[in-house]
Amino acid sequence: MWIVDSETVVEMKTQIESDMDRDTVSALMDGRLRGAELSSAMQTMQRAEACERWHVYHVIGDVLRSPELAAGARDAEFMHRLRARLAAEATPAVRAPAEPLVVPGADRPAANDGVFRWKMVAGLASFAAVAALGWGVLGGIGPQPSSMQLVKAQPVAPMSGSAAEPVVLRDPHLDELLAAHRAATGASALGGSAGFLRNATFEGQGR
Amino acid sequence: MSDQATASPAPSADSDALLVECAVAGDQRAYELLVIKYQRRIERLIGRMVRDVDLVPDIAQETFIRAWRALHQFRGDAQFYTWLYRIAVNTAKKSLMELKRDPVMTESALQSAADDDDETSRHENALTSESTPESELAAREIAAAVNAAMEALPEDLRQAVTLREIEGLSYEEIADAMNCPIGTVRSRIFRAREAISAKVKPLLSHQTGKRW
Repeated sequence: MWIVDSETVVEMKTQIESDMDRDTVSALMDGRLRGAELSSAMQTMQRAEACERWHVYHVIGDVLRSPELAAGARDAEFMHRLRARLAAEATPAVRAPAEPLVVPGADRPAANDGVFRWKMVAGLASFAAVAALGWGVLGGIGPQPSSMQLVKAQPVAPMSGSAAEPVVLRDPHLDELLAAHRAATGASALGGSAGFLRNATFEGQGR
Repeated sequence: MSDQATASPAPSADSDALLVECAVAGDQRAYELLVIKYQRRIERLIGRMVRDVDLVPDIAQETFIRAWRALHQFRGDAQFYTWLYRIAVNTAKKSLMELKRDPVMTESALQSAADDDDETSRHENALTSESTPESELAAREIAAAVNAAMEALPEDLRQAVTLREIEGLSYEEIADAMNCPIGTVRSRIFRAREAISAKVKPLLSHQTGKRW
């Protein structure tokens, strides 16, 4: 029968924890840790002996791959100076926005979005009217509904919006034209009807 | 070195990305771990660009400070060391240009300049730019200790650490190659490192505080 005193138990527990810490350093080095295990490992790495082990393990790896990297023991002075300089610097996350290229508020509707929508609808209606007239002039096949009938006859879908905004009947065909126009110009259609007329003229010449 | 598509990404790069993430979140120790990991390689790189060995640690310091400041810009689309390498090269070039404008000759640089005309000193100059005879001897001792420790390892531990450190395989790939569980791979690599560390650590402790 084994009798183990409390001191031995404490020693064994310390040894087990130490082995686990060293295994943690090894696993951290190989990028194997995630989540809670990673957080725990970073806590472990706050200790000097864990950092020392990190250094030794990396020396071993470097020497196995390139023996000339055996030169250069850990320079305590170097790290001491670097720590002092890092302490004087702001943390990287504080220094600058993470995504400087993102336009702030780009995913939010503009304040004049409702007005813009009205202008778009008006512009597209003008385009549809011109297209219908042009179709009539060229003698299109089949019945020739008037421009107003053309707009009204298409199936419409109510536009989503707040209850305070007026409901605008949307024409899916016009939505397609709008999407194509945006793709072609890459910008808003605030050029007014002149831009649409130019497009219509271009369309006419292309036929 | 990269893993198969279904396995984890390149482990070293993955661990670097994790440490960068922790560092950007404010964990300075995470960044220090990266410094410890890459200090020797960066200093070796700088030592091959500048002649004056005394300038190498200062340029290395500046490199790591610049990297710290720009850490939030590291996107992880390239390896961290590749990114750090570029910073080191740019920092060394900048230092060399500043030296040309306002040359400050240190003692070692003066000695090197004085030996310029002597053909036989070319090798010595090369030695001076990267290491001292003492550090060369210490490096050879460390390399010999690592090799001897590797030879003394049991076959399974030696194979595991070789596949990891030299071949750059992931734990999954090593488990597949050695036909054992991933947990066993992790244990073998750890035990191999521990065994080699026991032989190497006294030599590194002897070097502690010395420049090279």
